[in-house]
Amino acid sequence: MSQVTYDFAGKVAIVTGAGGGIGRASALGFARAGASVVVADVNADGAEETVALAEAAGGRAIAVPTDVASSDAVQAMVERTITQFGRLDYAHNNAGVAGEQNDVGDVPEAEWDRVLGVMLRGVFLCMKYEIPHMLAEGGSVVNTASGAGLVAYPGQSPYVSSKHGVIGLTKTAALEYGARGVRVNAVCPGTVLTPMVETVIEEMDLEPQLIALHPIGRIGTADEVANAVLWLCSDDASFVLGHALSVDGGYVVP
Amino acid sequence: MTARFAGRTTLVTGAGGGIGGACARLLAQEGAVVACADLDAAAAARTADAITGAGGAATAVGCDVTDPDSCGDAVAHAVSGGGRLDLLVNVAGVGSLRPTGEVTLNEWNRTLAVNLTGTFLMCQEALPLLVESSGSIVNVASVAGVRAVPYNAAYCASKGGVIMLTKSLAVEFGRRGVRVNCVCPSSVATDFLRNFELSDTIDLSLFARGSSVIEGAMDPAVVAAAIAYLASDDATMITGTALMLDGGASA
Repeated sequence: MSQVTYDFAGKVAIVTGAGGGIGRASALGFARAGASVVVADVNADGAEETVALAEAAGGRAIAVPTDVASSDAVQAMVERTITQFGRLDYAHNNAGVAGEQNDVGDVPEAEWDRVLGVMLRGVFLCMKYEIPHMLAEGGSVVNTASGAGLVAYPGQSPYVSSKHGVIGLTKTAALEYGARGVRVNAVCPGTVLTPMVETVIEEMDLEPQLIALHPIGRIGTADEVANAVLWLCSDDASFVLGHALSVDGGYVVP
Repeated sequence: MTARFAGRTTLVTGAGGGIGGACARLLAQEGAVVACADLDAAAAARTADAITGAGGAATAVGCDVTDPDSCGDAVAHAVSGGGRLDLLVNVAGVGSLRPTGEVTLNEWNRTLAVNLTGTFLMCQEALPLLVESSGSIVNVASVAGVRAVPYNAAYCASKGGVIMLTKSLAVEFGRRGVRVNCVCPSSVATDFLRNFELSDTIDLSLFARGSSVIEGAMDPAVVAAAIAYLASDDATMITGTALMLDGGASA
């Protein structure tokens, strides 16, 4: 949980991929700061759980099951936000999928389309429909990129390409909208301890290996990434735009 | 006001200037004991007096960051109260705009000595104490360390050096509990900028590329806020980062 009590009272935030992990932590962070939160996830049960947690923390949130790879679904998500809460101030476009492990020559074309559909096209669609609602009063967008948006990981070409793409998209949108009061930035987490990652780490006994890769000597938590998202949305970050902020314990350090 | 730095001992170089002064004041407002270091001891004292006058805890020390002994003295001064150091903020810097052919060796050496070697020396003196306290360093680099600016070779080289110094220390000291980051501002409204020496032989049109999409220079408080964020427990997973405060100039 953030050390700072941000004052987002009266504001409205959309968080995609908010049914668990980083998105849930960020949705709860926005809710604790007083924002009304649209909890979007392709997993409706996960989204409902996050809403319950937000309400238990005294926050206000609604679950909107959303597949961000679908233009219709993203438009419906944004429309629902406006009809329910009347405005949009912040968006954390975070929905992602894990990629299969394949060299480029072995990547099924459908796998390429699936991964880029969610993580690159999805972020594009979200911004395309979110940002117009922020122009009247200003706003802030944070996209979840990754250390894989800054350096490559063999066997992960769709994931790496989509995350590199997210950073390019973030920078472009930042330059387009910065003078109009909408700041667009990205966060680049390293390995983050989410339930999904925890299972993989346990099954493959990866923990010592992963810790060794992080100069800080441990794996990050979803809350630590959420804290960066909240800071980027705050007025303290008024000159930060088009930035890809690493939150990775020194993992990448390009 | 959150008190993110209650009980922490901090040392800020360049504390007599715009960014360093704003940083010292913010850290003190949030509970830190601040040692204000500056080559201009009187300017450091003014910042410290302003802090104590507002009910904060601060002391002043004269410090030439190009001199290893002076750096050691500044660190010793900072720890003399409570025997610990939790945060070092390296702000001290110099710069000018001049066609490279007109840059004297003296000026080149001076820029590198203050901006890069001075940061290194302060880090070297402070790191043993920061290992003990699981502390943190925040260096002030510049957007000029990431995206080149004309007529600014020494400054760009020094600030690029500060960024890689920051990253190198981050990967070396992370396992020992010390986080090291830097901020990279574009234009900040300070005397440093107002007094930035401008040669009359420069072609201003070369500055058009890579400018901020936000008009005007930022208030030093904006830089201080970013430094405080990186030093705070909200950034416990952030190390080796060069946080751009440039209104998109490097995007």
